[in-house]
Amino acid sequence: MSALHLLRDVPIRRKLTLITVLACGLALLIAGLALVAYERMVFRSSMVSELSTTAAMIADNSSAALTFSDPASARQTLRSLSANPHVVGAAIYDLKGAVFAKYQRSGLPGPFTPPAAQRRNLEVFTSDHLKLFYGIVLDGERVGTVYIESDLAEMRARVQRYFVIMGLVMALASLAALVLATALQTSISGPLSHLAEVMRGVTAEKNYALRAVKRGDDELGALMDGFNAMLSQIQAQDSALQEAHAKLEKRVEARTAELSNEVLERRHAQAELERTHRQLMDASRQAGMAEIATNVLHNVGNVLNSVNVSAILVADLAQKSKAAGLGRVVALMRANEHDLGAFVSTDPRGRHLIGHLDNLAQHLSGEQAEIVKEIDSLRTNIAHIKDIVTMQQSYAKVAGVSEIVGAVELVEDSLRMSADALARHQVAVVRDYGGAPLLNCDKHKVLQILVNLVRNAKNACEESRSPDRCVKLHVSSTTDRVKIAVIDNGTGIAQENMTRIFNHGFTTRATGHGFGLHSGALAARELGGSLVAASDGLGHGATFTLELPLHVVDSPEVARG
Amino acid sequence: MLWGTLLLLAMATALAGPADPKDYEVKAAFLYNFTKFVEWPPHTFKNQEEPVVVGVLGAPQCATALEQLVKDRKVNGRAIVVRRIDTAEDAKSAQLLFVGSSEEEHFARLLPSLAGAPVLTVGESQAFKELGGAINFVVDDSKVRFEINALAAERVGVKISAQLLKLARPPPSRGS
Repeated sequence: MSALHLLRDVPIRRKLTLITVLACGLALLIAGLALVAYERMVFRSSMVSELSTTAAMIADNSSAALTFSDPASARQTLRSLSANPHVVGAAIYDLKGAVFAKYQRSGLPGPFTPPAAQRRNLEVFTSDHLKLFYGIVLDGERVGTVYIESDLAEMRARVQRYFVIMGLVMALASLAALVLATALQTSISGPLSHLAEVMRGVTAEKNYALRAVKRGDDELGALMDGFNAMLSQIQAQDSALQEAHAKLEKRVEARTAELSNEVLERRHAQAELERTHRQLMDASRQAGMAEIATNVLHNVGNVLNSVNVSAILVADLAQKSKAAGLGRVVALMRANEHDLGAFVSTDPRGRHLIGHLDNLAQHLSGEQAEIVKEIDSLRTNIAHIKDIVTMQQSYAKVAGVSEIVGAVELVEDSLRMSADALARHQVAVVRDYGGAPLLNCDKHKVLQILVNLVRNAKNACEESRSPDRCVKLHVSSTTDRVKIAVIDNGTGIAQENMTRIFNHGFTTRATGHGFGLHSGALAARELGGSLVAASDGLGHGATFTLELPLHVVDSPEVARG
Repeated sequence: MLWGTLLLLAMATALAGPADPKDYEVKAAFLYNFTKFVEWPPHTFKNQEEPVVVGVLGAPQCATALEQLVKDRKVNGRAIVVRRIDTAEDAKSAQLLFVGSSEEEHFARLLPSLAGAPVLTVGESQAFKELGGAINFVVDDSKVRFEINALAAERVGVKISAQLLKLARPPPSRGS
């Protein structure tokens, strides 16, 4: 089992050779062992028969010596055994079993002691000796016994020789088997390695077009055929798979292209949308700007009316001035230059002159006062115009810069911009400011939102036709938010429109463009705040609340911390 | 000189001294055993049952011992018969003839009639040996041994086995 296990990973080429050589070797070994065993057996029996012959001879030759009790002669007879170097010792017993003569091989270490005599012929193999008893018979009568003890060195040597020969034969045979197996194993291992090679090629290169070359019609040939058939099948499946894959890839490509087109279109649309939005924002902003400009121009126009009135008044005063009468007085006085005192005291005209001058002085003084008053009015109005223009200029700057600004100031600015419109439509303004919170934001955007809200409120009030129109402005703050509410008691918002009022393009007014609230809400979100509307319904007014982050001034504690 | 005297003395004792009764038992056994290592010419026996005859000339103790010994024994399937020899005819009928130490002259007289007969002669004296006996007992170091004159046996057609020849004491070298 373990040998098989060891063989498992050995290449077939070597396995075949090994099996052949092993089988050959084993067969030879068994045959050799059997042969040696047989040979040993034969040798033993031949040894017994040889030694028996020798014993018989000794018996024959020693019968006379025994008969005539001549041990010397018997010893001499036994000495002939020295010709056989394997005989260790020998003895002749008389009929009573006493040792009559004995022999021992020269060079034995100790004296040879024969065993007790046996009455019958007997041979005994011990581990290293053959012991043989042979009866001495003379004329049919037993006269004694011969004992011979032989060592087994010869047999050993012979067996050894056999083993050596067997080893040599095995080595030669194994070598021959090895040569033969090496030569013949290619008929099996060759196709197998070829098959393995092809298989490796197929696996490594994924080349299913490779084919094993068949060399014979044996099982290996069948294996090759099967392998090739399998490869064909795989090749067909592979190409089908690849085709399907290619198709799929094409489809995926097409789909990807479609999708990317769609994405592109969508991006275009989005860009378009953004552009439109920006345009709308711009429009809204421009609308706001226009609103502001209208207000400004309206205000300026109003003031200019006063300026015009004052200018006409001054011009009238200048035209109707009594300054010309002064000239006539001066000419009368120059004519009576020589006697001016008399003229004044005597002449009737002269007497009236002082009164006349007094009148003139009074008149001119009144005129001056009138003119000064009008000029003052003019200056005031012009200053007003300048203020309006300055404010307009301050809001007309490029937007987008954040600055810290008071919420109340912004509300006031928005009211100022709409002041005339509010006054014109008799809309009362109620201010409810809780504190003066600060904002850190783009004030133009906030103002734009507020102006929009105030205008919407004014419009709502205007449409409601109620007698006490009112817009309430409410400013409050929490820990981090500022709330600016524009509350009107105007037309209100229908419930179904509540969700739509911040949609762009939605308006309830014929002249509205629908961007105001939408852009306002967007701007509020951009500023980090929100714009929400609330209304109890039509006729109940509306509340728009702009919520923005509060600018927190670092407290001393925080600064110290 | 001295050496020669001692040798002569020893020989005299061996040859002339009264034979030990125990020696006769041994010699009887030897005689019996000789029959096992000897081959007579094929025509000696008429059939397979004909006994082997061992003749004893003199030495009655030996004959008695031998008779005791061979009573129930056979050699090559033949019974053994002990016969006390007196005449030449008796001597010729035996296959083995033992000559006692005092019977050399008697043997010498019988000898001519034995010429050519397959009779293996066994003796126990120098005189017997000189008469041309085939096997001669000697007592060596109080042990019974024998010498073989192989030519004498061959002359009458009796074959002595090599084993027996091997056991025989080599004849003393000439001049000793």
